[in-house]
Amino acid sequence: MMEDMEAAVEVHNIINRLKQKYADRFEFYFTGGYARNEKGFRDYDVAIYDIKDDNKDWEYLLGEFYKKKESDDKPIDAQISQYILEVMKMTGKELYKNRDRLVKRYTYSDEDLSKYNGQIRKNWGYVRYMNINGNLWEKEIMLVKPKHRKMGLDRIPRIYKRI
Amino acid sequence: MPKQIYKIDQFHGGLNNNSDARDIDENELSVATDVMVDEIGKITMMGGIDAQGAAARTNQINPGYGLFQFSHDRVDGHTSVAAADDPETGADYFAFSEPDNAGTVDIYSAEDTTWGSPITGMTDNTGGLRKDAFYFVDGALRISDGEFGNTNVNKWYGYTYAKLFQTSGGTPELTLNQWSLQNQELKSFTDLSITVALDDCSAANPDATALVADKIILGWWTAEDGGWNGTYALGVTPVYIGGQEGPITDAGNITLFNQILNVQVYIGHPTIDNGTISSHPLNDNRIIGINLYIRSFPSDDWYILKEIDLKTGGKFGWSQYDDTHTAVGFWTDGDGADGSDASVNDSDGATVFNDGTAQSVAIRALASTDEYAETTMDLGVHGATNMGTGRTGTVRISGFESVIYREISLESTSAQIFTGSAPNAAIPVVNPSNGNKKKFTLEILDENYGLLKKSVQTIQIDVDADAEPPPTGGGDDDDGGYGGSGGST
Repeated sequence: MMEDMEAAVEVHNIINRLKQKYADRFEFYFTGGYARNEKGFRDYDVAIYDIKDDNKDWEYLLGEFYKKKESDDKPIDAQISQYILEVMKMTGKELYKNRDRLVKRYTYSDEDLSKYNGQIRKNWGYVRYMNINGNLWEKEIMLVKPKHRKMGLDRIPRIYKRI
Repeated sequence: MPKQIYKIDQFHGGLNNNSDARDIDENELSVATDVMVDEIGKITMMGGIDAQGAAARTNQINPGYGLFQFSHDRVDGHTSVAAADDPETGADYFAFSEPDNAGTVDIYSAEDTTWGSPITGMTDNTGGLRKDAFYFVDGALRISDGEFGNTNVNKWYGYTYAKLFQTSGGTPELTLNQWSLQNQELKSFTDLSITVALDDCSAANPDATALVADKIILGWWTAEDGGWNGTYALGVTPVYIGGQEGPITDAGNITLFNQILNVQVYIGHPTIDNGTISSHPLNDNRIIGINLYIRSFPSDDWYILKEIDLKTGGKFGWSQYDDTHTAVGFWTDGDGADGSDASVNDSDGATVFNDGTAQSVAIRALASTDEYAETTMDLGVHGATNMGTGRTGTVRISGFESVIYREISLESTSAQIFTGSAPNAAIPVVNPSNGNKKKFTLEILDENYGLLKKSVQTIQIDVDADAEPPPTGGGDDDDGGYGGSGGST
């Protein structure tokens, strides 16, 4: 059994605070370019799973990550994704079969995410935002968006590194 | 004044012969003879006295101590037999101490009408006969010697059930299904006589010298471009049933320089072979996990890194390991990946990698070498050794307009060529800007994106006067950054 580990101090600090408040209710995972050890990763993607699946605490939880940066000045991007336990078991072939599936992520923003640069978002066919309450937003998106399909990320197992 | 009815219909407060009868609560009784009121709404006869039926047992006794009754779902608690698989039909038991230096607590099973002596080891009598106190909770009996002049440690006696060290197919290497006697204290691995040691696995896995019984080996190796920088100590704790945790055992220090740290756990056992093992290798049947900790040297604060489940292990479960496997899991280069297509020459006109030598990962051909062309790439990957059944990795190619990923088998020892039909079709790419020696980085990565192999290939990308660079940035979904609209995958 193996597990690699990296330091992401601010992310760990935030999560440690949240674990004091919520104990083991939430599971936190690194995903995205940082988890793939990409040299030029843009941000620290944190995927969160709620064992209780109860969104009344999600705005506070995600707000703790909002506009926070790591020690290397790269932003932290935290989202709640209740589908990840299923996806993390998928092989590359299974992910490819499910790549068009619409999934929901939840994110925090004090801006109107249904608009982009002040305009109603164009319908690209793979993303839709809906306000849940306050600054909590639901984002409906294809499991693998077109940009990442070009990279071949629809053909390899998705990585989630438990924090 | 007419009489009023005052209804008293509750008696579950029980007998109160301490207070005056006029002062007791309305649910209490001032007199109760041979009745029980322990169930709300019922007054029942107390019942009689009958012989308990246990066979005679000649034990020395310490008056006032050493007799206890308990019931348990599992039968056959009077005996502890490995892999007994005792039925859960239920049984009643007596615990009866023998407080002299025989050191036992005998158990009588009413279901089997049999005595046994499964609890042993409480032999010290230097302070006098034992004064055993019993406590039964969570399905386990605890025995504590109240004669504090003795040195007997507290005992735990309960039923242990766990399927440990499950392989990727779910088959357990060790099935615990029996009554177990343990010292009650939740000990550290050191106190359980388990050695914990680090093993640098950068070049090879633990060898015959390192592999001994009663030992946990933390095999470690590093990869570049990580965030660990400094000297760190690794430590482990045992996790017992119920999630309780023992103290940390320090395994030693390692020093890292902006690296990624990988850790693999090995647990030694003297009887492991091609089948199963018959006893718990960590010397306590209650241990079901290991927590891995790290602390920055010389800080005293430990931080948990990983919870290791002794049942299911990691993604590939648990595997058997012996000293014939010291080279397993290491990438070795094959020679079937490269091609000599002129499309991947650089400005010197040389073949792949300029020297024509065999490669284990290479861009074999480009359908077009024009700058910014939307084209396809033939790719080859060839590992010479089987890194493990079912293992898959990733090949990552940087240098095109976007980073490219493809899944590869780490089990296969054949060349894996992406040039045919799906899923190994030629890979769509967008070429970079022109240059005589454009660099393309090819990396073979394991399941955790740890680097196994890295090559840099130079290819000439030609000028195309009509070509325009692809647009930078993205659509609505690429606004990135805060708010989670970025591109996590």
